[in-house]
Amino acid sequence: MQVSSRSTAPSGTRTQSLRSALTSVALVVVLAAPVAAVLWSLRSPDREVWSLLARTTLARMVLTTVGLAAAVAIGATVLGAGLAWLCVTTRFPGSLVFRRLLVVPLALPSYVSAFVWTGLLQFAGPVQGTWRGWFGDDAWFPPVRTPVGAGLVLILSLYPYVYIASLSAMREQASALCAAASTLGLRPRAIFWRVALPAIRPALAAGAGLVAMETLTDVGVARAFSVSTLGDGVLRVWFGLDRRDAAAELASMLVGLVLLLVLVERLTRGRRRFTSRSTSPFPAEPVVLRGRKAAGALALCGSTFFLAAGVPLTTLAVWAVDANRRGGEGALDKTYVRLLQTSLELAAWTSVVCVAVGTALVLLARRNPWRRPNGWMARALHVASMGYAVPGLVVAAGVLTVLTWLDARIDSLAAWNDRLYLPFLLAGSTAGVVYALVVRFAAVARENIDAGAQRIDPRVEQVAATLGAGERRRRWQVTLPLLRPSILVAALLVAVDVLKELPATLLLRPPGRDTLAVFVWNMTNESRWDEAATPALTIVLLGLPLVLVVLGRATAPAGRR
Amino acid sequence: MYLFRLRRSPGVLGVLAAVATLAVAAPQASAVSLGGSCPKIDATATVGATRVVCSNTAKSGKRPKLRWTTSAPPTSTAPQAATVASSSAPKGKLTVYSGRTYGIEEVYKRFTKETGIELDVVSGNDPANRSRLAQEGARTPADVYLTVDIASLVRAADEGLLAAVSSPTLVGAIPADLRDVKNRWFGLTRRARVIYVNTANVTKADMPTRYEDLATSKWAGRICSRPSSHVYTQSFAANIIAAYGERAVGILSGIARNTKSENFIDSDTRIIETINAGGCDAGIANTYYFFRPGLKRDNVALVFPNQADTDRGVHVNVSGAGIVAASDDKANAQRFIEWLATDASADFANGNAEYPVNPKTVVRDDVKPYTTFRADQSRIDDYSKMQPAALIVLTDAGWR
Repeated sequence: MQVSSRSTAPSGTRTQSLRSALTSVALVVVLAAPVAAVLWSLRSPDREVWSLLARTTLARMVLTTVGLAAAVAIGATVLGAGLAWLCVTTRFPGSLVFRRLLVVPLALPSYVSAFVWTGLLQFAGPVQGTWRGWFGDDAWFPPVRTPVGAGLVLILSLYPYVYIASLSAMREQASALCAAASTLGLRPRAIFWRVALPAIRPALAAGAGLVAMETLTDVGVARAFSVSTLGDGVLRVWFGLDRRDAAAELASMLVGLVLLLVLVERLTRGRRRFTSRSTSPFPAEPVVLRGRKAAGALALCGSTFFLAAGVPLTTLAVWAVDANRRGGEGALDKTYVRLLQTSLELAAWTSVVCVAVGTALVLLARRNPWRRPNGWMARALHVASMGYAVPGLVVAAGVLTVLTWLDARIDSLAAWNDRLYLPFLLAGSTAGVVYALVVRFAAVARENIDAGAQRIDPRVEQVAATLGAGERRRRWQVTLPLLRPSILVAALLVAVDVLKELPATLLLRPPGRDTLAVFVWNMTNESRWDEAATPALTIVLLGLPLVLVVLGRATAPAGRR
Repeated sequence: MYLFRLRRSPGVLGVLAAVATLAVAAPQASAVSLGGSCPKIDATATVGATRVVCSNTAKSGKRPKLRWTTSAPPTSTAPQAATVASSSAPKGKLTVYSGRTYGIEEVYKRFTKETGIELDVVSGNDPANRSRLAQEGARTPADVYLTVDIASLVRAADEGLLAAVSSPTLVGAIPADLRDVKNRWFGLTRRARVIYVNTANVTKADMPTRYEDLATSKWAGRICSRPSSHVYTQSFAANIIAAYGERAVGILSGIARNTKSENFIDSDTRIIETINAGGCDAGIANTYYFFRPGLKRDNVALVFPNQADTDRGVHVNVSGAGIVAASDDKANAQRFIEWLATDASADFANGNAEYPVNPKTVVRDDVKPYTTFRADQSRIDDYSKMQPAALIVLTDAGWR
């Protein structure tokens, strides 16, 4: 193992440099165009809306949003990392089962858990009904529709991001270090704080960053809990005040917050990189918990799973049975099959494109023509894949602007030559949706592939270079095969995200091409929870195998990937 | 008179020029350039009894010059009725941008069964669909814009996204105050936003009779409200503003103050359920949710507010439709809206327990006892334009 300050891969020839420079520029332009189109609106801020907001809700919205993101990121990190540590280093009854089960909430969209939880916990819901039955009509019950409620639901649905990141980091980075520390006689607690935690910190930061971004861009949970966040404010300004530009300006605050987040993460991570060639299973000997400790561990894992997945899924199942017994909308019928098909097609297209883009971004950043990992092009590549941090709504607005502009160009092209018949419309086509989804999720692919790339020992490539392998050969025969596991994981993660994605799909889907998520949203908007249940469950079930594969990769013994 | 308005104003001028030209020239004259520029090759428009077509009038090799001309397909000079018949002959597909997401699936199926015309429905919220229409402009696939809230419909018409229709059927079926004076949009159902009251906690004497009552301190902490992000709340606020002007802030902030923060609930049915369970004593929601199967409502009474003879009446919203200006199948789009307002009116309204605008339509039995009410008389399209202002007022009033 080695701690290297910087991974420098050998550079190629000048033409190759030129080609990769051009590719970089093209990728940056394509990925950044929609967000740039939105940010462009900042050139002439809508003073009327800003002064209204400043006078009324802006401060509260920003505070709520930042507070919620911070609280959820911290909560999810503590929960996710704690559970991962528990499941990896100890054995207790059911620990191996929980290790898998704990990742299930990843497949459950947070807006679905939000409407299930508000339904169960609201005043008229079963929980408070029983509560009043026990303790009388005036019994106190914590208010449900509060930022705290929203935060708890978000933590429960987002902690798996940190959990998975920690599991895989513990296996890949921490295992050998911990084993060494253990042989040197360090106690488990000291190993955790002094060895494991620093080693998995980049993974924790990445996981927490994802959680914070998801929280910042969330709209569904905020709506269900009537919490005024910036995302909700963007929707109000866009559709309520009918000021799309002002909405975009407000949304750029979100973008700003995310950039801040990334900056903080980069700065704290510094230049440390951990590379490890260890293939030993970790830990060599898990601690076997007994008695009260085992019960405590079981209770923690059990209640987390119960609250994050068990309750929502059971409730959805009950509702789904109701809807199917009644028939009509929301049952397993022709409409359902069409929704399913559309969802799967979108997920497939998007993950293929995202993975291609993500791999290209990583390879380009890895050996960019300026050979400086922190050069402006590397930064541009990084920023270009920041779509994940931009609310889906804003990406959709930007994509719509870009595509209608292109459509107009195509129009004039068609008008210029009569024989050129170009009847298609990019905005509102499947390609348009996929474009928006790629802008949004390329970062997910990039982050994962990049994490994989950082784990590749730079010496492997250096050795290949000294043996005379050219740039292209090194890429196809050394780097890419080593990246393959991360690429697969990235593709699956993107697919799950697409199945769950809402605003961009909602705004850009072509006529008659509703997805499962769109249907769920439309039904919940009209308080038809029963009808939303079957498609919502389907989203979860489709996501599950993918999530389990991701987990398998994160926890499999290093040698057998 | 022109029957068709294009979004791009030069197009409208061109069409107007066409009317003038046609009044003088014989309609059979071929390839008369009418001056106004037009959006794309082969786009057509109906001017009185004549179809005009968009073609390139530039000499070959030059930059294109798209102008409205009379060199239309063979049907160009046919009377309008014939045009409708001929263009509906090839059974096509209508694309509907719909804000209605429920209760009308069966109605759509019936339309396809009866006419052979398939419906592609894009369902989403009204403003999102409208902004999509605006973005797609002349190339939009949409033929019909269907909304649950009148404001979006009126605004779409004002932005030139909807075409005017001359339809005796629609004029006959829909009362004048529920359709556009320029015939660009047509109301299909009415939705009354009433007060729901918990009958166990509120005595007969204490029953609110006006929306304004809910703003008094008597109701402190006892109200459930829908957040201001929802169009229903915005429309309601616009209604209050129309009645009170600047003093509306006082009433709205009174209601907002009387609503505990956890009782801002973004779902009408959950508001009714909460009132039923005693979580709050009164709230404002639409009538049709009362008829949802499975809704617990034993302890809930439905109060139509502001019913005194001198009062303005209950706030009523309208769900309606218009033909998209850039539609390439206006005849069938018109046929669809006419069908919704007449043949299918009962199914369309009763499917969701709304009030049909067509007075001839038979209301379903369980809704019948709730049909005699005075609706607010002010023209709905006037105050719906205040909706953006309403959100500002709501925000100022501290409405979540």
